[in-house]
Amino acid sequence: MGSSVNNPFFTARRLILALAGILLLPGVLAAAEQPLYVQSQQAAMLAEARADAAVIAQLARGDAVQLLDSNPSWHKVRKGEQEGWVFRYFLAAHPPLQQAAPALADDVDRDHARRRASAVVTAGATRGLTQQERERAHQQGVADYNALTRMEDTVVDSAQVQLFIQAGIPQ
Amino acid sequence: MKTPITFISALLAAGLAWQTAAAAPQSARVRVSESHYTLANLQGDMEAEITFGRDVAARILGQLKLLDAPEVNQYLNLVGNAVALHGNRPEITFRFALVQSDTINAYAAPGGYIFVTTGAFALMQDESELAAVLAHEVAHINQRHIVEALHIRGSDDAPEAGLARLVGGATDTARVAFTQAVDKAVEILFEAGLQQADEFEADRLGLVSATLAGYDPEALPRYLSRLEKIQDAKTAVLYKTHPPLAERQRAIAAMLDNEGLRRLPGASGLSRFNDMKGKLPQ
Repeated sequence: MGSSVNNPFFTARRLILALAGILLLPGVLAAAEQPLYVQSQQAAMLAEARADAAVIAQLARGDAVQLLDSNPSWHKVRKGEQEGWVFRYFLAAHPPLQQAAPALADDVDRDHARRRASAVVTAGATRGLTQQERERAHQQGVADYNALTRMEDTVVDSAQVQLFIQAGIPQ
Repeated sequence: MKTPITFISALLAAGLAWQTAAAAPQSARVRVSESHYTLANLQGDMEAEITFGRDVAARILGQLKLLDAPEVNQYLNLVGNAVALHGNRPEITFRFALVQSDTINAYAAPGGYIFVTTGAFALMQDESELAAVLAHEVAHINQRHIVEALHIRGSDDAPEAGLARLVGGATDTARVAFTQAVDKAVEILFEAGLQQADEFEADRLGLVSATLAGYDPEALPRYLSRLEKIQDAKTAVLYKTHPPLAERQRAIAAMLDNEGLRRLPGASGLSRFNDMKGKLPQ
């Protein structure tokens, strides 16, 4: 009866166990450690998976949380010592991205709408459609880049939104 | 040794499958956890989405005239951005505008461009109903429903990456494909509609955003109840492009109860909404 160390069956078994360790461990760790990040301005961490449940904590945009459990609408998460439920809609697997605005030309004369619209058409043509294609669509009435420019000129900043909320929406 | 080798092969396959599943994002739309996809990729996809959305928005404005009412459009932007704070795309600059049409509808172009017809605005009775409609449209953009519906595939099989490839393409072929994608997006908005599942999702997520922003949770069903009574040319496009209202109402009622939204306090914003209605051009 030979030693099990030299037995081909046991050698293969060791190899299998080693492979299992190598293959499965990173997956287990990845699943356990992948954080989620709050995307909404704030997100309530609740005692139950219901919006009317007791609030355990208020999370802020960019906060990282650990995923513990899920149902179709909610994630159960941990942040520090606290655990609770957050709407899935408010979380993503990446930190919040930087805000991007449409490319607008810097040298636009804002007092002359026609010239400004033309500059926007030009600036927007850096990618996607060509300048000629946009101008043609605009001239044919298929698209209205002047109106688009006016729409983009109506800007509200976050301070205005906060004042608006405080003035009329109970939090 | 045949059995161990077969077993090892099976184990290898299972192990790789497990690692893939473990590394997979919460949804197919979130790919940053994949090793080859970075935040810069996501940022580039988002910028492509805005470039694409601008051209779709310009096409919408080619069909529906922008209402010349700066104060009311400013108000729409305040309400819309208040609900968009309770969403999952802080990187998007949302823009809202009223467009002149007696039809009752609202439209969302990728990248943050949202339009409400004057017909829909006239049907609304308070700010919470406006917030509910805007939150529904914000959810369409946040969930990239149009981009998904275009079925453009990029190198990693994700539609956003495909869109970025089209936008970044310098060849005539890429520009033709980009133009076709804009045409298709406009057709989806005005003719074909999105998948019904996308509309139900927008109802569900919009309800969450508007309610948690502090608006009356009953606003959307109240608005849809009023809409159900209008069966004429004003609602023909909406009925063609959306699921039956009765089904939407059932799903909304279940959501309000099951997710604990119905009992939350909410504002109507009646007085400032009426002020704005008074400022519409006659």
